[in-house]
Amino acid sequence: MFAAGRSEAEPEMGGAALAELCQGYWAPLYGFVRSRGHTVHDAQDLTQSFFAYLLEHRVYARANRQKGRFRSFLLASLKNFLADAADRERTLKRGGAQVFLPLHEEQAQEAESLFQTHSGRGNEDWLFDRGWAEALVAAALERLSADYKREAKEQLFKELRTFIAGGAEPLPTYAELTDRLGITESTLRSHVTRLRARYREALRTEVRRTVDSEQQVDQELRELLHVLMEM
Amino acid sequence: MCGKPLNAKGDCVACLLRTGLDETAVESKPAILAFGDFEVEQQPDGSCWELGHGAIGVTYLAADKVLRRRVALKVIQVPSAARGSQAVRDRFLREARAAAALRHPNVAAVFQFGTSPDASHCYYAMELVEGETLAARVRRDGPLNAKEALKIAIQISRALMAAASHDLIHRDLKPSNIMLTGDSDVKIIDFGLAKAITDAGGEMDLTHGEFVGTPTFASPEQFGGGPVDARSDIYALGGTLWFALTGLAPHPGKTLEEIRDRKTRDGLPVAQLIGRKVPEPLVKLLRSTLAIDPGKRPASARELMEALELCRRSLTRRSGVRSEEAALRSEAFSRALRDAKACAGDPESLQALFESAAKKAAAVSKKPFKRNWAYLQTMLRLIRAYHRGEYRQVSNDALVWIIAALNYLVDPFDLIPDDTPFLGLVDDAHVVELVTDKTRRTLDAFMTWETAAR
Repeated sequence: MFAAGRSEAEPEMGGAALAELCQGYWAPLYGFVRSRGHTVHDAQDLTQSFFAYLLEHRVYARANRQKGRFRSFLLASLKNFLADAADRERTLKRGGAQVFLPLHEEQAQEAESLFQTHSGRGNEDWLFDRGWAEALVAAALERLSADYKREAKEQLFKELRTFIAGGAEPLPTYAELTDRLGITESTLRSHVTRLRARYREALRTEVRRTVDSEQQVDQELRELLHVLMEM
Repeated sequence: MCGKPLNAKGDCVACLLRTGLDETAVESKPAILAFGDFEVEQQPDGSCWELGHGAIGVTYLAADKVLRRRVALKVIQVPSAARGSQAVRDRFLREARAAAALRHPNVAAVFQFGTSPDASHCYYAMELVEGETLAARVRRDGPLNAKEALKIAIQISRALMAAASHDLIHRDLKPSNIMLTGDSDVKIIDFGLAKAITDAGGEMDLTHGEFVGTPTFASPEQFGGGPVDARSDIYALGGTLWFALTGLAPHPGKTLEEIRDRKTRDGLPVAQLIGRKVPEPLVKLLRSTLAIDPGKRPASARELMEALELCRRSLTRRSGVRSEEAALRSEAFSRALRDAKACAGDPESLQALFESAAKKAAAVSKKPFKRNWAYLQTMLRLIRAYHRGEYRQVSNDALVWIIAALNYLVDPFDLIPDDTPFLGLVDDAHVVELVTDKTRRTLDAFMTWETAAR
């Protein structure tokens, strides 16, 4: 199926990859649980318990390769998990002593803020997909930022980030940036071109972790874009 | 960007997703940057290959598409306000043309220059010099000893002499404009172009006014915005030599005003030289070279060069007897000289020696003779010009020396007996010194004639 649980023969690797993915996509799952009417703390516990349940029962390893995207799989699994009240109760009781993923205060606050921003604008599935899209681009930007930092080009990334991420402010002119960065306009153009290309690859790499094929990468991006356009 | 609401970080998530689908963003290799016949080379990661970076211009490694050689391409971005200015364009071209006329073994030659069609950039292609700057050498190895520093300063002064015959001044002579190749052979870069660069690059900081150059090494008169002459370069050479000997600038400062005030108000920190055990004659020469009043400096590059040579000779005298190895190499050169002298009275033999020397020099590859290449080339050009009857202003004695030197430098092994134990260890630095000592005036005069003829 997807990179997170690629092989049953390598459950530890699959588990580690899943844990990493879960950290990245914690917010959309939390938002979904919140949209079901759970309180902040219950939603946090349930989200954590859901991940513990996934790992413990190796649900990711049982998933059929043909089933496709991790996003759909995760949402379906979460729905099943929440629907099974008895299972949930049992897991919650045990989960009190077993935290498999550290929950950071900042991460929880950001997820709650995301939920507050978008709740009421669409149904719970839309809310999940919207949160997923945000987590996806954030992960790609994070990956790219780390790469630039490693190349000692952190400042360049900060200055040029707006060319891919946009924002409320108008884009700076090339003249302003050449002054600020002390480079020529032609060099700047080539930096921007490269940044766009590298971001595109970082984003597609991130998506590739959650789908089976290159074709599905495009499909996943189009679907998520469609979700955003529905607003 | 697309009008969709932004996320908490102010990013447009829709645009970020769309980039993932954007096929045009796949073109990760940026378009090749080209100026006239030159294409900027790219690093393995696709970025432009920068060799250096100044306040106004960037120097790239570039390929000459026509002549298929690598060059150093300096590109100056013209500020948008000045792009339509024919005057700026003309001034740049005029100054670049003057600089391009200068040919000297110690000056990186300017091959070609121009402006981009939209007048947004001025550029010139220079000889690509492989090596490091004097600034980098001193940063890496620390201050140089007097002998080494003098060797460099003498070469710079020779370049200034050649420039003087064109009424050309550098205006921005400094350690980072002195390239050192091989064994401290000098190539000065951006010769005669400092003003062109500043004019084309326009927008200097307002506080700089008409200032052209680098404050730390500039002469006091350059700060006034008034006319400057070759004595400004002499001052800058003094500052550069000081830096080479001490690793420090004589008058450092953080702002242009601070540096200017120190230059005009403070005395020279001679203790720095004494601390580095710089010989007294050289200290004295530096004092005059760095005089505030241009009238108290050496009057010309030639005068400076001769003074530097005197300092060097006084050092050589103090350094004592030559080693056995050096004496042996002298013997080999003496043999070359004897051969050349023997032919001097016989035009046919001289002709044969010309041809043999020219043939040998033309056949050698540049690589093993990198250090002496500039001398060789000039000697060869002189012999050819003489041979064609175009150039006759050379004495028989000088000609003999040049033929001998050419023969020796091209093929020293021919002249050293096979049983010499040092054959594999030949380092002809000492011979080059001997040769250049004797032939330099002849070569300089020839280059002056050559440049004027061109």
